[in-house]
Amino acid sequence: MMMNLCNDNTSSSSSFSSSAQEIEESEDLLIQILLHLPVKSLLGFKCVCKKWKSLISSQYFSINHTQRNPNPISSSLLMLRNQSLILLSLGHHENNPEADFRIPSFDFFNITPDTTMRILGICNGLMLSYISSSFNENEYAFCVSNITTRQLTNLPPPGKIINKPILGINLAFDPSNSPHFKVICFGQSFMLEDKSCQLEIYSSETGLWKLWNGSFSNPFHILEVFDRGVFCNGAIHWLSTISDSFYFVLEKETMKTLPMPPMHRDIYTTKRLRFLGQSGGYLNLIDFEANLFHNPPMDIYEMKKDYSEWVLKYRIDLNELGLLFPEMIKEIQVHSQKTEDEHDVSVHISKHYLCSVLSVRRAVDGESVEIIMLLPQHIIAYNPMNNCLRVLLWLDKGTIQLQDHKWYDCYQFTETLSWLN
Amino acid sequence: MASKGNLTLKSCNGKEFIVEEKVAVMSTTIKNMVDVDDSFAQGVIPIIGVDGKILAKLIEYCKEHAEADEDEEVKSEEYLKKFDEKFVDELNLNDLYDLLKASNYLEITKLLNLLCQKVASMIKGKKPEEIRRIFNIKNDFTPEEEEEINRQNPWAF
Repeated sequence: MMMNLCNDNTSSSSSFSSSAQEIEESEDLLIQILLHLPVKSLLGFKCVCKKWKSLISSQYFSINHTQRNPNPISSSLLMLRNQSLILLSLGHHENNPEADFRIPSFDFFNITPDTTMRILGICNGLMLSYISSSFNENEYAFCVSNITTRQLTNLPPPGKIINKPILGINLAFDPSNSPHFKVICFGQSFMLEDKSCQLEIYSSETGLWKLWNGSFSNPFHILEVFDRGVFCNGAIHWLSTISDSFYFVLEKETMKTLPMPPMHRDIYTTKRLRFLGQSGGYLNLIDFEANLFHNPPMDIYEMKKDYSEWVLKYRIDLNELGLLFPEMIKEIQVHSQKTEDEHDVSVHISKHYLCSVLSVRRAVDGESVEIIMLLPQHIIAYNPMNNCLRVLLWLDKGTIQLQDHKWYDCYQFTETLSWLN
Repeated sequence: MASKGNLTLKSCNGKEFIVEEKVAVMSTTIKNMVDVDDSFAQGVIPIIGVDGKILAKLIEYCKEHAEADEDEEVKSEEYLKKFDEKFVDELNLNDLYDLLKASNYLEITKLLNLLCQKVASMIKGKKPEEIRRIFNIKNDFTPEEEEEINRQNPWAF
C-alpha cells in the first residue's frame, strides 16, 4: 500500500511525506494553505476529492478568500467576437501560446431559445445582466451572477418607485469594502420639460430598492451614457462627450460633476476618442483627437484620489505604433482651399490611425498600466511606461469591426469566489 | 534555570534552548502559558511534538522578527522580506511540513502565513492527481462525477 513512500527523496515535491498527509488531514491547516491560492487553481482542485470540493465551495471559504484577495489584477477581457462572447486572456501565455481565448459557459442561466441575455456590466468579477423574453417585452429580469462559481441571483424588479423607462442600470461591488453589492438604476422624470432624473439604489444586504432622495439634472436627455458607468473607489462614473460627466459616491449617496482635463478643439478635428476606465483603483481617461492635418498623441490621464485634477500620465505616439502595425494606417487625400479662389486648392495626404482602446489595466508590476487596443488585425497590450508590447490575439480579416467595438462593450474580468445569495 | 527575562524551551527529544522572553512570546501559545502560570516563566517549558532541529529553526525565525519589531531601523521591512525568502528557500520538504505543523501548534501567525504561502506556491500549477500524490489523498469521485466538475469549470484547460 505504501509503495510511494520515498523518504530518501524528500526534496522532490511529488514524493509523499507523512507530514504532508498530517497537514492535509488537519482541516484548519488545509484551509490556511488553500486561502493562499489563486481562484483558477482552486477551481481545478475541486477535483482532488470530495473533502476539497466541499471546502472550496463553502460559503465560509468563499468569503474568506474574497476578503483576502479583494482586488486581483484582471485576468481577461470579456468581449463579443463572431456573435459569441469570448474571454480574452490578458496574461502571458507561457505554457500554452494557443490558448488565448475561451468561450465562457452561461448554461447556468437556463436561457431558452425564447429568451435573450444582455450583459450590462461586470464589476470585480460579478456580472449584471438583463434577461428578456423575445415575445413579450414586459417579461424581463435583471440578475447578478458569478460566472466563476456559477451562482445567480435575480434582483427584485426596479422601477416600482421611479418612473419608467429605465435609462440605465449599473453594478457596484467592492469586496475590499463589503461582501455585498449595490445596483444603481436611473429613471427619467415624467415631465419632459423637467430635466431631472430619479435614481433607485438596490443593496444585496437588505434585498430592497430604495429611492435616492437627492436631485440630479440630465440637461441633454442623453440616454446612452447611463449604462456605461465605471466603478472605481466606491463611486460610479459616467463619461459624457457632449455635456458634463458625473459620478455618484455610493456611501455618501451624492452625485457630483466629474472635472475634465482641458481639451484642444479646432475646426479640423474630425473624430474624438474618449475612454473612461479604471485600473488598480485609479480612474483613467484617454483623450485622442484625429485632426485632418496632424495626429496629436494619445493622452492617458489618471485622476487624483481626491478628484482635484487629472494628471497626464502617459503619451502614446501613434506614428511609432503605425511603424510596427502598418495595418492601422489609413491615408486620406484632403483637399483644402487656401484662398477665396476656388482653383487654389492644395491636396494633402493625411494619415489616420485605425485603433480603438478597449481597456486599461494595471500591469503585473502593480505600478504601470497596459492599454489594450484593437487594431484591424490584432489586439495588443501596450505598456507606455516601459514600451513593452504584447500581441494578445491575431484576428482574421473582417472578424471584428473596429467601429463596432467600443470600450463600454468590453469588460475586464477577474475570477472570484464572491458569494451570492 | 534561565535568568530573568529569559525562558527555557525544551524540545520533545530533550534539547533545551534558552531564549529571550520577547522571542519566545512571538508564539501565542507560549505567551498564554507564561501569562497564566508563573511557574513556566521560572522553569522549563516543554514543547510537545516538536524536535530540537525544528525548534531551533523556529527560534531562529522568531529572533529575527522579535528584534525587528523592537527596532525598525536596524531591521527594515525589506531586510525581513529577504530573510523570510531565504528562510523558506533553505528548508527541505520534510522540515517545511514539520515547521508548518509546529508554527500552527505554537500559533506563530507570521511564520504560519509564510509557510502556507510557500506550500501554496508549490502546489499552485499542479494537476489534481499530483496533489493527491503529494498529500496521499484517495480520489473518492467516480469518473462521471469528476467529468461533471471539470465541465462546470470553464477555466480548466
